[in-house]
Amino acid sequence: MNEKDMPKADFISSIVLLVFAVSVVVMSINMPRLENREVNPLSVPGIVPGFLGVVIGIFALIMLVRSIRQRGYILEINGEKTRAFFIKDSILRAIGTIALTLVYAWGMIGRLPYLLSTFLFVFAFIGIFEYQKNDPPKRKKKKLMVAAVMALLVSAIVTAIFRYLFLVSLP
Amino acid sequence: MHGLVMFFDGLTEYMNFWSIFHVLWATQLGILVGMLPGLTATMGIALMTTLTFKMPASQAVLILICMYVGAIYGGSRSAILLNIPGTPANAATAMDGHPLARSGFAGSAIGIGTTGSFFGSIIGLLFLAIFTPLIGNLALNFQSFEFFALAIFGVVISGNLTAPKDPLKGWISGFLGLFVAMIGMEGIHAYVRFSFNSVQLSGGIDLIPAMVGVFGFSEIISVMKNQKLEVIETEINRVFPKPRDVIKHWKTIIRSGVIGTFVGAIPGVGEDIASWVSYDFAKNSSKEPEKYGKGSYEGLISAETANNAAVGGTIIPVLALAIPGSAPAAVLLAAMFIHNVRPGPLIMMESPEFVYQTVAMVFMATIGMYVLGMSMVKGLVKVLQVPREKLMPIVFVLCVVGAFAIHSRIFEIGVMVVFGLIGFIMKEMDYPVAPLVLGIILGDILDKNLRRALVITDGDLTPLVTRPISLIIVLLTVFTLVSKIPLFRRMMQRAKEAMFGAFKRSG
Repeated sequence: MNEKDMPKADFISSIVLLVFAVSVVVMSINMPRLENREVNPLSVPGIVPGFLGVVIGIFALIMLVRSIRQRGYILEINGEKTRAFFIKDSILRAIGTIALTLVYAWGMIGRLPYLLSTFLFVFAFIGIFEYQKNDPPKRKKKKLMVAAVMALLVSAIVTAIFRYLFLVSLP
Repeated sequence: MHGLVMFFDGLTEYMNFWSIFHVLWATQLGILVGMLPGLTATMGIALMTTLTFKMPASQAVLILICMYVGAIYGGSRSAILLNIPGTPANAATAMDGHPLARSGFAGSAIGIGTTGSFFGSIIGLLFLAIFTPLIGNLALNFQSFEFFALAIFGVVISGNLTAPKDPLKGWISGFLGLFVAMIGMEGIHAYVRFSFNSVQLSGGIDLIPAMVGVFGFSEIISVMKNQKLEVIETEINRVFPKPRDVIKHWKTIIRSGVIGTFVGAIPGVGEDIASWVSYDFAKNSSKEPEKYGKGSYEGLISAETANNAAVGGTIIPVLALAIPGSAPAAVLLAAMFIHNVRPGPLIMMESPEFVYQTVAMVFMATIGMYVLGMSMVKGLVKVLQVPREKLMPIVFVLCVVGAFAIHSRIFEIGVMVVFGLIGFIMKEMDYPVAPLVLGIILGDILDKNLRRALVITDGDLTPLVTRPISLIIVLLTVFTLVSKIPLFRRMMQRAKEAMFGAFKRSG
């Protein structure tokens, strides 16, 4: 993120933090005081989280005031800017990475056999990110072959090492 | 003297085939992890912890320390050749290392950097051996108030130094970390906080998966997002430096070693800040400051000595206080707990030999680093040419296994992913992540000790400022916070000017 946009980011993050801090404080106040167990009221569970909530709230408030002073509240979000943001190469790569990793970690692990899900993930990752529109078909094919071989090697080696050498049971 | 005997005892214990074998492969792996941008020391140690947790403690900790020393050193290789620090600790190295490589001195830059790292590491381990017992004995007087003050001081100073541009974000990160530690069952009345009726969350957030996420997964996203790296074509000439070229920098080496160790020992600050501070000091006291940033061997050696000296420094509070000096040291601390080694103020009474064993481990790792660092230079350059599209999916596969391995719970993979995303968003918004991690470790200490202190004194907080050690920590914390307030800085500036003005008038 560039310097110019930082007050805007701070404006948003300080509001999120403020909401977070207030909810932490409210939850801490509502925590049981364990009177029935005759617990010392100064050692109740809510006291430290409450304190932390207050501190985070104060910091967030300072940041909010600061970002407002730097005119961070003028967010200037419009359709054109959003579109321009989402077609940036770097953003697309980041989103692609997050999507692939989430599908693997949350969608496949535990549902499909480990070996298969790891093979599919590595193959898809290399295949997608090394894809170049302008490559001749022969090169495209070769890239996919390499991706498949790598995926096979990685999934087999990782499975073997963890299962037999480090004795870790895999998901 | 007694310490020296225990050090040699520790060293002889590791003079066998398997230990030396472990030193060699772990240090080499550490160098590789450090070299590859996107793989940091923290992540390497976190993943290695999950791999070694079935080994005996003495071997497992040895492997982790070798990984640590190797990775912090290895990052200099990519800093010099790619202008991309392999780990954040080598950012200052790139300033002069890369211009040297560009002008055809890649080999001697690597040689001087390696030698600097070696001496830095030795200085760090000397301080580790001397100061751990001293601080440990001092810490025996620590009670609830001191520990509470120390926990707050830790996140505040860590926030301050890891986010010099905007310390407010560092402090927020630290307090968020403290909050994360509140999730799950608390240690005094066994009440489950912030679990939202989830059985998994009631056990709390485990440090290792969270760290693998923050330092591994988030880094993968960043690497994929950023521009591709280009390795410069360079001939690697003579690597081994002439003794003369090293000796003429002896002052810089000693100064940087001391600064590195000292900064390393401050909770949650770490190797990256250590090398910047040392680099600045070297530049300010240099006879040729104009060469800095353009290829100064002095600048290179100051950065590389400091970051490896910091490794020894970061382990001092790990052993003496059970508080980590940096993010990689935080994992090391967690790993020690997993292996039932209990660092902290009692260590000098319960198992002083472990302190000296650790010194011996750092020593072994340092020797391994120097030998491996000076050999196979050309072959390793090839590793830097592995494209990120092929490397990153493998790293993620390891992150997933690493998060899962210790408790064999799918839930931990979720923790890793969530913390990875949080880490990525935080980094994008300029929040440092090191204080967050320190907070997760210190949260439990803060929680138990604040409540214990309140119960002991019946709600009276004055012992915080009447007990001498506690008072010092409180004053340091307040000063750290206040010194960043613009009004206070202006007042200090005015006071300074008034003072100097008075001197000028009287002169």
